[in-house]
Amino acid sequence: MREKNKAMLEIGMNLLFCSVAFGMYMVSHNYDFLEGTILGARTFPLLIGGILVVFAIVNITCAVKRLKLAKSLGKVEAKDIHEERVGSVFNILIREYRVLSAVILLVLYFLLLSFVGFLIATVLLIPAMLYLLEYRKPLPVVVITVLGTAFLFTAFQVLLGVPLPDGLLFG
Amino acid sequence: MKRIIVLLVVLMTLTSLVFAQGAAETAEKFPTQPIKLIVPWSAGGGTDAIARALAKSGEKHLGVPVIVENKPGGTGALGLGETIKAAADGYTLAILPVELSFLKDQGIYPFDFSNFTRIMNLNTDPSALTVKADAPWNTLAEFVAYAKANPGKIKIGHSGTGMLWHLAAASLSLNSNTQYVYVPFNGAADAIASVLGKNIDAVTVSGAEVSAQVRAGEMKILAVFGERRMDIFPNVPTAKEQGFDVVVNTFRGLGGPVGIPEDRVKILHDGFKAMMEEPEFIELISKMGLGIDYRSTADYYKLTDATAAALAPVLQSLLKIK
Amino acid sequence: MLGYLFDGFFTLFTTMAAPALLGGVILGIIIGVLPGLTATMGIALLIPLTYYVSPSVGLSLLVGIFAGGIYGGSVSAILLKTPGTPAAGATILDGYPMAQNGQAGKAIAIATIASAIGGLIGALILTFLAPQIAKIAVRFGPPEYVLLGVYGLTMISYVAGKSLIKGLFAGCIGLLISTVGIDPITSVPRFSFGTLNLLTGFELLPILIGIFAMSQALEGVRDSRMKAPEQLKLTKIGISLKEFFRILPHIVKSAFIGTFVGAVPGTGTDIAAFLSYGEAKRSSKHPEEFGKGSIEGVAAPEAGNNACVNGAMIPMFTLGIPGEAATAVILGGLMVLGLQPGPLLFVEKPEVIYTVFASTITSNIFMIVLGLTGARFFAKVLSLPKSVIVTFIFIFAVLGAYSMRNSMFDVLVMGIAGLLGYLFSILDYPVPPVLLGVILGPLVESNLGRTLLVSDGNLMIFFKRPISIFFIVIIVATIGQNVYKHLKQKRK
Repeated sequence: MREKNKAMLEIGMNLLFCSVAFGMYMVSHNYDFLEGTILGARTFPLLIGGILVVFAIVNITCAVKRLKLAKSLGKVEAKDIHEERVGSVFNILIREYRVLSAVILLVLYFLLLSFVGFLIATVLLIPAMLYLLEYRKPLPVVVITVLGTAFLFTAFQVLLGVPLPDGLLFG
Repeated sequence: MKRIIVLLVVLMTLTSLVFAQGAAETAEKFPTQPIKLIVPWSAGGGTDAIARALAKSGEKHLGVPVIVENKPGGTGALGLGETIKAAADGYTLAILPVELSFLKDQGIYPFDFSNFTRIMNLNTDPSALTVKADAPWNTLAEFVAYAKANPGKIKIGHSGTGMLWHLAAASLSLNSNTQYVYVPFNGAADAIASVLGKNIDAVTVSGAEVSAQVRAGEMKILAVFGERRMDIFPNVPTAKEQGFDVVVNTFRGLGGPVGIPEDRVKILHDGFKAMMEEPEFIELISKMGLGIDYRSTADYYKLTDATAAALAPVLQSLLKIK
Repeated sequence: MLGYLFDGFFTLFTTMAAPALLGGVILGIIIGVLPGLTATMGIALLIPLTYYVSPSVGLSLLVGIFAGGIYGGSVSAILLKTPGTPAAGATILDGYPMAQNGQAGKAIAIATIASAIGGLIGALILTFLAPQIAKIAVRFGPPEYVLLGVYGLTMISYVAGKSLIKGLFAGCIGLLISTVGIDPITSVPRFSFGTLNLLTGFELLPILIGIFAMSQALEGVRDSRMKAPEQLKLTKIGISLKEFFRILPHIVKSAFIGTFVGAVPGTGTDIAAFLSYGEAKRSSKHPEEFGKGSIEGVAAPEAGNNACVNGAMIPMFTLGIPGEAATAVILGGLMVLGLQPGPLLFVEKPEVIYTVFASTITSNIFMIVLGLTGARFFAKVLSLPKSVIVTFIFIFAVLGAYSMRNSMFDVLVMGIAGLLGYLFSILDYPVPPVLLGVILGPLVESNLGRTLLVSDGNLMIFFKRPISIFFIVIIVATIGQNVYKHLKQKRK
């Protein structure tokens, strides 16, 4: 990632946590102190939140400095990876936004787990994730999917009796 | 071609899985599958011990195993919340803590006893005012006299603000007109350790929880806050005998989500009653100093309703302090 | 006493206790390796089995699971950056880099040796000094806990990496996370917004799995674009005598730290591991290697957390008060077995106690044999294609977060923690301080409240107690040493 974007992202993250701390400050206004002391449910969040904001300001200042430096140098960094763009549009797209695609897959997995349970969700996730990671030999994929799911199911649910998500449909 | 084969294999696996999961169908008889007994605390406490001791003979009396599941968190709220959400078919039960009678008023539980089908009461344990063995007091009167002379000097530990043992200490304060500093701990064990280390002066946790220390001579009970003396410590007088009207008992009952059919409640009640009558259960529970207190479904409803009323003044006094 | 111990060994090896112990260690390792299944859970799962056997056999089984479970967590921490148990959180810091340098087998071997020696020292202390240690442990009051927690937080300076400010920022995030839930002093539901899940507060393990395993797997997805070598080369497993003597002092020191942290009620293996790690880095001759695959950095936390296992049994047996979560479960098990732990147990049932002591000692020997044999096979996992490993880390992370409390909410927490961890790694922010914050926040906060209640609001209490003065001295020394080092570096 380019230096500039990184600095921007850093500023964004620090601001995000500042706002979380501020939000906690606002919410904790409802909590009383213990009679006649500085003790109470709000003391600790306030204290920590305050300190966090101080550190965040330092971080932001540093990031802003770097941002300015990057701008003044005006250097355009070379793209670190050159890749052949082959295959379908879909292929190019998931390659470009690979992490995002993985996150989307995982969100789908999460939803599937809640609805159809562990077995089906996992049988679907493994090939999809392997496809995304460009591991696409059909036979190994099937073997890995079946063996992997079976292994996990056996280890957790059958041997140790630890329940796995069974989903709303069959629960 | 290869891809189509792969697709077919995946599809076949999927359909077989669907059928495998749907195959377990229910019959008319109850119970036919294991009964889940949720303990809303972590493993290792008194409630957990009762549940596990009961479950030992579960299969013998109900024909299906009783499986204890610990669901700690949010001072019991998580496990109880899960129980409420479960299907009211009698297969998901929970050990209901006494705190259901008053934690809703404090804004900690979003539910109370009325959100449960109550089946029966299992156990009652009195709070016990316990101090270190070498403490200068030997009776409740001496303790109270000292507290009167030194208001706010005695520190009493309990297992969480607003929980029953806190109310027990507050009840003593209210009835004897004395002031204490209440120190909340994360569970009774930590509070007891703190008395042993002389960081606090007394605890008002249950008599069962201090029994190991008392038997070993490390601590002494000044008064039992029960209606009658404890079986394991017949020499320790109750607060009532010593002239203070302080009665605070915890009780643990069996219940499930609202709407369990009455015939199933009956089957469960009879089954668990038989488990409670197992000599092994009685021996185990008594050894731990826990009191066995069976009450029928109707009596359990009465008990839970009465407790809320009885603790109201104490709760009022605490909320005022806040 | 030696006579009792001898009888204990005799009972152990002439009854079913020894096989039960071996089975327990094996099962414990499996439970520990599988993420989300903690030693505590394993013990709770197995307690019903102990009803049907004699107390010494049942307890040997539980002791085996406890020791094996805490050790087993290190294997998945080293190989997959997926901590099997919270205790392995500190092991990741150097164990995973070692594995990435192709030294997976060696890292596991070191973890095994350190766990076994640390555990052994802990077991010997438990056997011979339990009553004495317990007496010191109960002297630990609220002020001491506060300072122990603060001392733990100074470990941020050892795990923060390049920028201390970023480390402290991350630590604050962890502390803030820990404030969600019921306030320990006033019982006010904080930041719960009326939901039960937030009322309960965040569990440590989903966060741990998220910021390490999940974020690591996302990095794996990102880097899979670059045609990196698909497989890691595995180098030899054995460690040299020289290396052994380099880690030995750290193991011994960590064992003492771990035993004591365990003996003090309310603190557990995770804290023991981080304190041991920090102390090892502080006193190491090669502090610059830490975080990049230092053998000392693997040995110290593993020795610490396995010693803690034994330390935690000290107050359990002598006082009837659990040292940490898993011992609380064992304690419950003891009661259902009809034994009442507490001062009288030594008088009433010495034969059971000394059999347990014998099994704590023996469990470490089983562990070293199993671990060193297994290291070779465990390390083979890494010879799978990277894309397959990444896929399974995702699934492990989800299952691990879920099976802790059977909660989809925890999976969600894990996912968000994973994104946070990924963001942190892009921006070069350290994640271990977040963990320290989450682990130590409740300890510091609740005990600070208690301290002020006990002392009627007087902060001078911290300076009036010998143990707390000791802690103040080492906290000041730690901070001073760091500031001095920092200044010296700047001058250069």
